[in-house]
Amino acid sequence: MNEIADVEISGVNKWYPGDVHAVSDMYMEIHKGEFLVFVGPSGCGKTTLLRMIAGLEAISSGTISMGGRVINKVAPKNRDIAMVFQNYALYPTMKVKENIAFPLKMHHTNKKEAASRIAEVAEKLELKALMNRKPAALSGGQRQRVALARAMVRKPRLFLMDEPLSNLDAKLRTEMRREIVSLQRELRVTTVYATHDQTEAMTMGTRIAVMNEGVLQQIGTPKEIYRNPKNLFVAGFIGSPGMNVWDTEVVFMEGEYFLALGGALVPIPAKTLSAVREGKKIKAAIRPEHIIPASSIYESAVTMKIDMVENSGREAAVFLSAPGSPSLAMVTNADFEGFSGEMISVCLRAERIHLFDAETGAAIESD
Amino acid sequence: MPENSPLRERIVPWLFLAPSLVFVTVMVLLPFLDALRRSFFSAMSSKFVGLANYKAVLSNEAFKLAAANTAKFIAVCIPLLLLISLLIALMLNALKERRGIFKTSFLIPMAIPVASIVLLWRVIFHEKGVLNSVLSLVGVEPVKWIGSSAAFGVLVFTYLWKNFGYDMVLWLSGISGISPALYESAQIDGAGSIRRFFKITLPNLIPTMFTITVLSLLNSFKVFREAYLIAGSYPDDSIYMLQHLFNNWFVNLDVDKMCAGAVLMALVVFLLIMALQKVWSRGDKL
Amino acid sequence: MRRWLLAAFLTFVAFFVWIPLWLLISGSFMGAKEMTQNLAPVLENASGYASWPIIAKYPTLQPYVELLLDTPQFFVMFWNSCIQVFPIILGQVLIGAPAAWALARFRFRGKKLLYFIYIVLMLMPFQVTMVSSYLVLNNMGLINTAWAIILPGAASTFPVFIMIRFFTAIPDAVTEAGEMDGASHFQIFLRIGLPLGAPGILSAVVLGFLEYWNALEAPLAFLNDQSFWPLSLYLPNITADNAGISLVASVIMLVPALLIFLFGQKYLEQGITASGMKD
Repeated sequence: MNEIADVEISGVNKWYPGDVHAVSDMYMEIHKGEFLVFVGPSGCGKTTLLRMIAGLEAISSGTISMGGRVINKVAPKNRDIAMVFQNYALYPTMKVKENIAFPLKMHHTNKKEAASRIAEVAEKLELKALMNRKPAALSGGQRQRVALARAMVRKPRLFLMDEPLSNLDAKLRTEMRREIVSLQRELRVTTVYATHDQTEAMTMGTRIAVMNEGVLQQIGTPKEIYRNPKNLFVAGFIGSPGMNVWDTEVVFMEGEYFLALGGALVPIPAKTLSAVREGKKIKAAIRPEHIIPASSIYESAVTMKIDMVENSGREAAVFLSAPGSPSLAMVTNADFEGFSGEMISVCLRAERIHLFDAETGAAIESD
Repeated sequence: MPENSPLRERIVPWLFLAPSLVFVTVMVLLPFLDALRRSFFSAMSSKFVGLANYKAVLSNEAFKLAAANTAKFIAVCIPLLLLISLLIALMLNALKERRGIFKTSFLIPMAIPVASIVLLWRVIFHEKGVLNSVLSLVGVEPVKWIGSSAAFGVLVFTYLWKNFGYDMVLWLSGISGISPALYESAQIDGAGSIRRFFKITLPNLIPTMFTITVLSLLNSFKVFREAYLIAGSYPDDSIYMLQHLFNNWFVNLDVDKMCAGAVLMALVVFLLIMALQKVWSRGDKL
Repeated sequence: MRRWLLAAFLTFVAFFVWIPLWLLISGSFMGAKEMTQNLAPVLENASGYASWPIIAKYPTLQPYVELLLDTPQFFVMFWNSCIQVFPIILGQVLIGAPAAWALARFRFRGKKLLYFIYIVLMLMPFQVTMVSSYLVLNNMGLINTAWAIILPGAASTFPVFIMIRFFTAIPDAVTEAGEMDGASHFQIFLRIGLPLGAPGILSAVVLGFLEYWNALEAPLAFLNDQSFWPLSLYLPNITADNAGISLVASVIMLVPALLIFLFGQKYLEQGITASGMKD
């Protein structure tokens, strides 16, 4: 993949009347051909940022550049960007083929070229049978595809998608997700995709930008984000069930360092040892799949009571608690045979424990 | 539209507005300012006369009569109109089927030009007309419907006839805006239909009522049409309206008085709009 | 049981509408002799009461013939009505639709004030603008021409108000999609706004037509020459001689209005509803 930065977002801020700081000091580079997902809860600024890239919102301060050229004041139609809206925004009075042809018409594409592009895109998105219908006569998934077709037909430099799948039912959503990804990989057009669904982000993006309250939390590949969350927010947002987080402190006992887990002690990851002073207020976090049922003979095993088991057939999520201890969620394989009320022993894999500064939420880096 | 967009972008809405602005300014605003200016001058001598025209208007007997009649008409007609159209809207709302034909029927008077129906009204309400002939069958003495102060009643009737459909549509749209969930939960709580009407329907219709009142108020000046067509330029005192007055002044070229009168009316209407605007926005918070 | 009562009462009220309409139409088929006989008490102050039969005793097309074939004046009046009303409607749409679009879809400085001014203007009765309109029309030398009616009518802000409601209802995303697709603002207005706002335009047209077809005050004030008078002024000049054709004339004047009403009732209702919504 070409690493040339196609779009550069530099120090971008957006204020709304009433001192609402929707986007805060955003810096990022969007690489050519990548599928970058903006993910975060409602109000995190992902849609606002997307719309600023599109030119539908003014930029309060900072610059956005495409191909080296600052485009702050360039009108949307001159930015060579296509957008797919959350509610599809198809033209209700036009038939499907007119909807798809519209951008070409506006750019004065010659008839022959236009016809061939429309046919190509209709083929790819299986719209040939629907060309003469109006949007009102289409199902949600069909409208979605028409919206995609309309965006694709222009062969733009950049695709923007604003939560396009959120109005579809679950099964359709998973199908469309794959279709969008395969289309993008085939067309290799730089795509920026905004969603609040972290599963979509993890499965679709080549890189993910996690945002919260207008601030970029972390940007990186799905793997990086998953394995090395840079702060508590990212740690808790990505993954389902979410990461177990608890307040803890370093304890020195019998010549070794441990982390407190309620009343129990668990081994501390050696690599972070030097970064943490004894007694400092920190939070520890571990993903549910990194807690394993273990025999109680292990020293580091912790005994807890099972509150509930959710067995989905593929895996089992086990919710544990112990008096004076934070509750934990464990994910293990579906053969798990524990039942509610039973006491079991579990081990926390030390090297998978992440430490965070309790005040700033930032990850404590290992050396 | 982005706020800090280039001038070329910001001018766009004004381009769309341009034809309308030109027309409105040239045909309405500037002329009105001119009339305002003239109201302070004498028509004949072109000398500045201050408020003399206004005083003349306010002390003019004909003006006082016309203004009083217009006010009386509004005070009688508007509540009647509101009530009747509301009742009919409620009844129509309760009827599930056949609503369409009734709605059409009640709106037809709006489509019938006043000029078309007026001969019929004249024949019905004439001293020797159909209404009197029917009444004579039950022994009632003939009434000079048009030529006497009863003309006022005729005017109210014809105006109501023409306009109740309009207000009915407004009520219906207001009623349809009330969430059925409110009624359902009231029903479950045991409220009977009368109770539901007073506790749910009426309070929720208050915003609609304000709107209809304003619109009906301002439409009421058009009753001149019925009055003129039925009774001519100098009708019975009871239906002598402001437009009659203006027309007659017009003929006599009392332009300065007319200007003052126009400004006065504009002021009154403007104050009315502001007052109702205030009540309107308070009605929102209910 | 209650349903029946309601329906009965409403039917009773509906009679108040249908009976006058029926009398009007059926009365137009009364021959001259029958009409003068029935209406003499009213028209000529004869003794007794006037009567208006439910169905003409001797129905005839004679008044129609007389009007349509023998009364050229009627056609002049009808034509006057047409050349005064249709250009007004056209003007209102051509001028008003873009203005409504701007007020509905754009944010700009002074919009609220402008909107307020438009509403105030729309609500002013004719008496307020009558003098000033006359003065300006006089200055332009347009008194006693159709323009005296057309120009002030086209400047009315009422249709703008109606259209604004409908334009506002168009979702932002649809016009934004147009922006992204490369359409200029004017193209968005033409290809997206107008088709989607068409019901609003039709509502304004229907309401406007019914209003101006009926118009009385302006022709009375601005048209001195009776040969320019529209139907709405011509009709009331009824004497005993032409009572017969006046009814026919009434019916014929009624027809376009009724037709437009019947075809556009849906839009009429939408327009009325729209006029009743505050911002």
